[in-house]
Amino acid sequence: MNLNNKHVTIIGAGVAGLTAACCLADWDIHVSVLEKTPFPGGHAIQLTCKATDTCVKCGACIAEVKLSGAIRKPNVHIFTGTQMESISGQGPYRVHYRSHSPLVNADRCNGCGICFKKCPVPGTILQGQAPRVGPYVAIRRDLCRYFDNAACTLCRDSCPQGAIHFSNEATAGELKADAVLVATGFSPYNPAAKPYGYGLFQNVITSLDAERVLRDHYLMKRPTDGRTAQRIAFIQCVGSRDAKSGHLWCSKICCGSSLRMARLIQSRQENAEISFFYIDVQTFGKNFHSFYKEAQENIKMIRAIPGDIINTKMDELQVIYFDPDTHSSRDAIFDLVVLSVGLMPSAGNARMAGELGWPLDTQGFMPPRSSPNQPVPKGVFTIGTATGPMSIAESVSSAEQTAFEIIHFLGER
Amino acid sequence: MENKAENGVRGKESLSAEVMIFGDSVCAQRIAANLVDNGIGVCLAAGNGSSPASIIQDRVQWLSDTRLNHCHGFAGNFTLQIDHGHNQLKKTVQAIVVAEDDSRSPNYSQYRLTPGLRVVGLSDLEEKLKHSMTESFSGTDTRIVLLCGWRKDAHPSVARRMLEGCLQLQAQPGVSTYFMTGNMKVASAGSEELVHKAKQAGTVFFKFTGVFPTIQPQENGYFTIDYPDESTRNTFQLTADWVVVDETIEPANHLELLIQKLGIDQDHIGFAQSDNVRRLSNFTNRRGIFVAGGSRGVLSHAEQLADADQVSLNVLSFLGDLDGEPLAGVTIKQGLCARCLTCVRLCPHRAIEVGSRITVITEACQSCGICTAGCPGRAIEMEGVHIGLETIQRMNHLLAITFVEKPRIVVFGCMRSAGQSHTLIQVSGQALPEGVGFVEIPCGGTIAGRHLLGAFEAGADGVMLCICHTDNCQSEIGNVVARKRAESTRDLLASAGVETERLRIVSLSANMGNEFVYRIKAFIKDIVLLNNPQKENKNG
Amino acid sequence: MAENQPIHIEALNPDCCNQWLYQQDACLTCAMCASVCPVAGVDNYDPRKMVRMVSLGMVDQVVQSRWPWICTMCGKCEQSCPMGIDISDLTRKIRSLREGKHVPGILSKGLAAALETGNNLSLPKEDFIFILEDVGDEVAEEPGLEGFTVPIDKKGARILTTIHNKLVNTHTEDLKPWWRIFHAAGEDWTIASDNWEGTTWGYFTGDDEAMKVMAGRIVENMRRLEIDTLLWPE
Ligand SMILES: Cc1cc2nc3c(=O)[nH]c(=O)nc-3n(C[C@H](O)[C@H](O)[C@H](O)COP(=O)(O)OP(=O)(O)OC[C@H]3O[C@@H](n4cnc5c(N)ncnc54)[C@H](O)[C@@H]3O)c2cc1C
Ligand code: SF4
Ligand code: SF4
Ligand code: SF4
Ligand code: SF4
Repeated sequence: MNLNNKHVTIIGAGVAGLTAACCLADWDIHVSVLEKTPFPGGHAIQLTCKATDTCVKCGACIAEVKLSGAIRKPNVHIFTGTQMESISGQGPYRVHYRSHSPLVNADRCNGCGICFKKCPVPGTILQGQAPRVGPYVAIRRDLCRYFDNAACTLCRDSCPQGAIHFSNEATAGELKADAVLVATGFSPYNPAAKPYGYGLFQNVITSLDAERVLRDHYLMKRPTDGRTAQRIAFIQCVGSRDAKSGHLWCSKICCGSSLRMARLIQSRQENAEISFFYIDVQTFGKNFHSFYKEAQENIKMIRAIPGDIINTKMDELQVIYFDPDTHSSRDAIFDLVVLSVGLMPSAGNARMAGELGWPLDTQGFMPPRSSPNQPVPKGVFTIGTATGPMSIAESVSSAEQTAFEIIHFLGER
Repeated sequence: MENKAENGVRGKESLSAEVMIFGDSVCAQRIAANLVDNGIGVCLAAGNGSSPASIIQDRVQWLSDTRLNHCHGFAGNFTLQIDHGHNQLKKTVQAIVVAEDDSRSPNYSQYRLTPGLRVVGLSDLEEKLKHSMTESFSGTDTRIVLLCGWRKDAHPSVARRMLEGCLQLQAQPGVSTYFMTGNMKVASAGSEELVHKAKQAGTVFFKFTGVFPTIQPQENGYFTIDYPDESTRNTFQLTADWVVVDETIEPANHLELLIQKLGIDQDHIGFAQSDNVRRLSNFTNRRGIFVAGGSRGVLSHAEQLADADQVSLNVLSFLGDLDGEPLAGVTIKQGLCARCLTCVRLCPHRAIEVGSRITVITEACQSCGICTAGCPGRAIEMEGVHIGLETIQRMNHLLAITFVEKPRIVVFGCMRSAGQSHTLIQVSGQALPEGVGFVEIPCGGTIAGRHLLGAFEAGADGVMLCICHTDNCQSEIGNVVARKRAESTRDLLASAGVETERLRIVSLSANMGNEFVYRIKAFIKDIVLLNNPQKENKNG
Repeated sequence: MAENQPIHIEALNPDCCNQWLYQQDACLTCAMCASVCPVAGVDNYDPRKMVRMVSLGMVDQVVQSRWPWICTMCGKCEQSCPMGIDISDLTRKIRSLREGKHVPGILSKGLAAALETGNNLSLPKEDFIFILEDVGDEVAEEPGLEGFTVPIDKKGARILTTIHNKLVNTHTEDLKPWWRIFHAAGEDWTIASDNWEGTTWGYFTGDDEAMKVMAGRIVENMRRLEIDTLLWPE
């Protein structure tokens, strides 16, 4: 089959999009990947390896493998800082996009980190986790105060490499696409609405925050004082299994990811005392049974979801829960609380679905075509967590399976 | 995938097969259909299966009652000897797919039950429901209890099937269902909604954490179930007309034999794929041999079908690559080879062929270098890899700089893990501490004792060997042999009077830039103490 | 209930309440409701237990137990429940199922008195006005509050406020902070001399009919005094 005159546009450079890019590129298809953030790799590239000495098969490193794989292929082009604007045609489509030029010049930046220290707005300057395309350091336009009437230029002025260049330039472009693949992923649940003081108490963090802390600092450091947290609570199902919020699904990955993180912390911090508040523990991985047994022996497993957290005068966190053993209210003191947030439909799903004419399911995800007869736009496909909660391994599977469908589709035309 | 007329119906005898598929599962049949649709000849070999679905029947070779006897050759050119009834068959194929069904057995013993009239396994229940043989289940006041994952957690795909069965039973006139489980497994697409639906339909759920119910069979065949309920703190008793037990999904019995004959790795449960994320989704340790569906793990029906498409893509890509350029490889210098067969034993990818000479098959070799380092005659060379030399050069470079208190450290690191982490820290503006030289190697297995000793001879104060975590090696055993070799090097160091702490083994993954630096710094600290023992006394 | 006697599940009737619209069957047993409940553990009560008992068809047992009456009706359980179960309404429903004479004495007597006399204490109008004026005089002696008087039955005021009977009985001190705030804010407010009762024991006991009567009287007060804003601090 000769497909070297075919073009596919993939929207989203997470592990799903990158896997599909690798598969399609093997068939000499021209692949363009549009990524709205400054960095490719999606959520998975931000996660920490949870191996103690033995790999626990969390799959995080697969994101690196897929990213370096995609970058090595000459017929894959990753456009960072790029959003799809609109799509026209009946297939082949024309995909119209806008790219913002990066504010940090990758060739000049040497990653010294001075700009991080100068920036007055926390979270504005981002550090990528994988260095292979585009700049390694990026500035968020939506937060940077320069774009508020040039109110601040501290980072630009302090950069010894002269790598920062403020500009609002965006270039519009257009791609021909014989097929369009939606791989826009998920949004992590924002737990501000839950009674845990997230956003108010800095030592209450999400599991995604925790992944980053472990990755960057090796030990579980507290945001308020940088001390290593000894007493740590994980609260499961935050935002998942929540019919009241319209989330009648299990996010599938959080039990595995949090229990593995807990064991990782214990392997690095001998005295760490970890409590795990849960409803039901889900299965993850082939060695689940032995891993779970070990976890039960080393972690305090409490089958109840706490109702309240109080920040004490000592800057500790008092977690109030219903003790299933004594059947009464109890509290326990922790240095840090990790909220295992669920996987929610990506915030842009409705717009994306509208633009493409793809049906959203009742939960707001974009599931793949359920039957050959389902009337969906021809040549449009969806993969990964854009279609529903799943793990990295499942995202890879879904990308490979769909790549097969796409090749079949392109071969028929 | 639909049957496409233009592919034509080929006579069964005249069919040539490029791909051998073992198994008669739905997954195997779908792979066969996918491949023939793409013009690839397929032979389906089923242990004792029935004939395949009509859509592929005339387009594939079909062998039932088979047993694999031997597999010779390598990627692109496998020769299979197969017992077929009383005959022996020989087949030459380019690729092999293992797609046997899994094996399912009801978990009677977990619930201390014996199979009986009123005890039904999940698969049996599904069979009955499929053929609408549900009369026996309906009638006034029929109580059916579904037992799922008590002492051993059920797989979410099994729990999901239990829920589906439960919903169908609950819809029968006069039936009340009770679902008794440990952890309610909802990590399967749509399961949470199913639970909700079942509750609305009237199923009553009980969950247990540590203490599980006791089940007493009664003389009339019914069961008395006594159990404590955790949320109301009452003890309950229920008389059940029927109990349905969940099941354990395991590798098929004959998979073991296939695994052995094909020389592929297996996981601790016995599935035909090691539990290694680098094998995702359908790869094995051998190029050209793929594994799918119930042969690689516990997969739901939908996942098995998806697997068929995935593996089809992988096989097609592999076949397309066969015509491509050969990979840079490994050669055996015949003059030095003593035919000791060490390399054959070591090679995790089965890339070494024993014939009149011992040769490395380029198509199968993955350039891990495990053989190179293991060959006692140093007969094996890897293109472009001269670790010994590189180390010496690097050390000379380091020695050219005079250090006062800084120790000289050589770090060997696998390119798939430490190498990636090294790039990560470089680009993030961090540098390795002064006096540290990093040597990237293709795999931990490339390192022999002589490389480690060479580094010491060249003047290193400490040597750190960074390998992938256990179970995460691209070549499966590269990290294991590296560890062994380093440990015996330690013994050598000890007998030469060098502190064994000067050689450290560390496991890393590709995304551990910060940990890499952390580990190196910790090592330097220890080496400084070894270099200046007085200092330690002062501190201590 | 004897804890050692097993309950025969076949004897229970979950169908009796599956018409109820409180979603009690959706319970995940996550215990979040019990975790937020301020009285969880008191006499072995917790909201999850209530929900589960009802869902299992143990309605009679719950109705006869003390548990529904331990609940303070704060509603935190309902607010936190991820499955959206109407736990407070469920509790009220259970309470309403108890025959009047078995409703805990103070509640049933108080409610009966309120229906008959307009307040739980059967406090005569003159005594009520006397107490208010007396406390008002005390407030007026405080610095900065000179000249303070309690506006009773003031037509056309901006706010009508109800009074919890405890405040004109044992807790008169607790009237003062409210009044100081009204005074400082320059608020135009008033108290009705009839049907001033602010407790909601009809709501509390699940007696919706009684609650309708009580609420109707307050609305009537608003009409009579031509006030359109109500402060009902219960
Ligand atoms: C805290 C946490 C821990 C986890 N731990 C594990 C674990 O241990 N193991 C595991 O298997 N899984 C884990 N997961 C799940 C894992 O992160 C996902 O399975 C995986 O990231 C899904 O990949 P994806 O490509 O589908 O989506 P994403 O990673 O979300 O990638 C989507 C990409 O698309 C981009 N994008 C979105 N919209 C647009 C648009 N309109 N235009 C252009 N680009 C767009 C996004 O910026 C992003 O880069 C975890 C998740 C979380 C939150
Ligand atoms: S799978 Fe996870 S635990 Fe294993 S090496 Fe990769 S990142 Fe580490
Ligand atoms: S995986 Fe675990 S924590 Fe996550 S939603 Fe499911 S049950 Fe809750
Ligand atoms: S380099 Fe590795 S794969 Fe190649 S022959 Fe040697 S041991 Fe086998
Ligand atoms: S919070 Fe809701 S779902 Fe959880 S135990 Fe209470 S009633 Fe059940």
